[in-house]
Amino acid sequence: MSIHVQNPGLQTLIQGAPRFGFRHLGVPWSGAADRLSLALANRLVGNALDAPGLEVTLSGVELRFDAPARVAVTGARCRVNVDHRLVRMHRRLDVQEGSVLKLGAAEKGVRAYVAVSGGLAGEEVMGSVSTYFPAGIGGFLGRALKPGDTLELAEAGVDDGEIQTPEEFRLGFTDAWTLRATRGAECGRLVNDTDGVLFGGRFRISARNDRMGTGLEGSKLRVASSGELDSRPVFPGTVQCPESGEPFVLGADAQTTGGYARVAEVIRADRHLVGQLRTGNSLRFLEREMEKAAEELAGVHRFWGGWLPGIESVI
Amino acid sequence: MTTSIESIEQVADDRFAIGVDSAKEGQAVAAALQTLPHVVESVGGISTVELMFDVASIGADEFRGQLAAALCSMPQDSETAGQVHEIPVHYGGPDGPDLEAVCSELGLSNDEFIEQHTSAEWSVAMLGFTPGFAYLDGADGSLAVPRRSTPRQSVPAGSVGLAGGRTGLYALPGPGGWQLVGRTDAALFRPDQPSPFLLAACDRVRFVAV
Repeated sequence: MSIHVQNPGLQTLIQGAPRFGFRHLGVPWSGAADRLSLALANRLVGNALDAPGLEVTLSGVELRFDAPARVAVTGARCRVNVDHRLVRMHRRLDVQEGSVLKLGAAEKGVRAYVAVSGGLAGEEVMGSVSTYFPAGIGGFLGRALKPGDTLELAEAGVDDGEIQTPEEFRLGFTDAWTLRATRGAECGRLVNDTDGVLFGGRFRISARNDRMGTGLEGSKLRVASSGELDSRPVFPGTVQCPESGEPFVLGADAQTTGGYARVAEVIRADRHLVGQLRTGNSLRFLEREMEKAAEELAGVHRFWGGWLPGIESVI
Repeated sequence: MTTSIESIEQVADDRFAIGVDSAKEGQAVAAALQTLPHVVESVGGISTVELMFDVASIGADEFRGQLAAALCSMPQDSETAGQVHEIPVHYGGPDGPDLEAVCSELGLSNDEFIEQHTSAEWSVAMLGFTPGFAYLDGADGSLAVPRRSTPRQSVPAGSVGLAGGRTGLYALPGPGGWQLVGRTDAALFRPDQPSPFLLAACDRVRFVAV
């Protein structure tokens, strides 16, 4: 079974599980920017929740299947066609030999996910096949897909999966995001009452928005400039603020250390949403204490566990 | 090893930080804690080590207890010598667009700066930021300049940057806030090699102007 890339869109990448355990050597995680949406797609086609699929950014994609396959599309809201017929997201789709699957531009959110039963084959580097294109590793030749590329399955597809995602487990997409966050280790560097701006102010997602991080503008913080900060470890979900006062949220491809003040940390339960923040959308942070964040994560695990067994390894 | 259990601090809902006195100590502590059960990542910074734990298998309080116990029983680490590398650098021009600014900040001519940068022995304090990005200590911290107030969106691979008395080597293209003084053609990241990073913590580096 091969899948031919007829139109790769703006940026389509093979992404699955993160490349855990190498941050001490400077190796970012990579993996799906919205791991929950990839898990939902994989569930429909009978794959492991983190099996490699396609992450389709903003502009859509067009794929031709040279054999029957079982696929599903989740994530950013978009129009999905199989052979010019409109089909639904969050449904298992049985495509035929020669079928063309087309995703239109994202209408809400940024990244749609395509799972194929069996999972996509990719180059495994340091324990993960997820693409980290700045270093040219993982996925399909370490890069975004191009027209004419041919993808293969990791394993034969299975006759398994679910017909559709139950309504209560479909993620809602919005233009006005709220992310829960704990105070960051260098939150004390915020001048005066600008932490009232950090937690409570409304930010706008800037045009500097990619898998490494998402810039925020519209509300300014002020950070004490008393000397340089030593480089500290940073992670996806860390919110840093340079002296310019415009913070940014780190994403799936986030660098492993950084020197700007870490003013907040998006709680684990909400980190998958960072991958769907769209330029021009609004965002505010809701402050959480550590204990509350842990309780909320347990609640999220209980809820999603009802549809996605093993969700604790994803969120 | 002066790391104390009092310095353990929860910094995110799935992460703890431990204060350390030096990058070298940070590397040693991070390495020693890498294999602790429930640890997903153990990353040494210049003044902290941070550990992400697996929330699915352990709670925060329990993990903190395990961490404290591990720190108490941590052995002294032996010194590692490290390799010596010569790194050729094209200073200034399009390869080092911040060289003029750095020189005027330091009150040095270009030649004086290059002389000081190349005569110092630098040592790799840590790798991080992006694969193979090396933080180097040297010149007694005398070449200290601030980071750029706004980071660049794209810095070419091989760039040699300065910030806070350290030299940083960008192995890959990517965003960055260090002041760029030059660029090297040396392959700092080689993903097809068994050991993909040219430099390792504790290695020593001498820069050569070309």
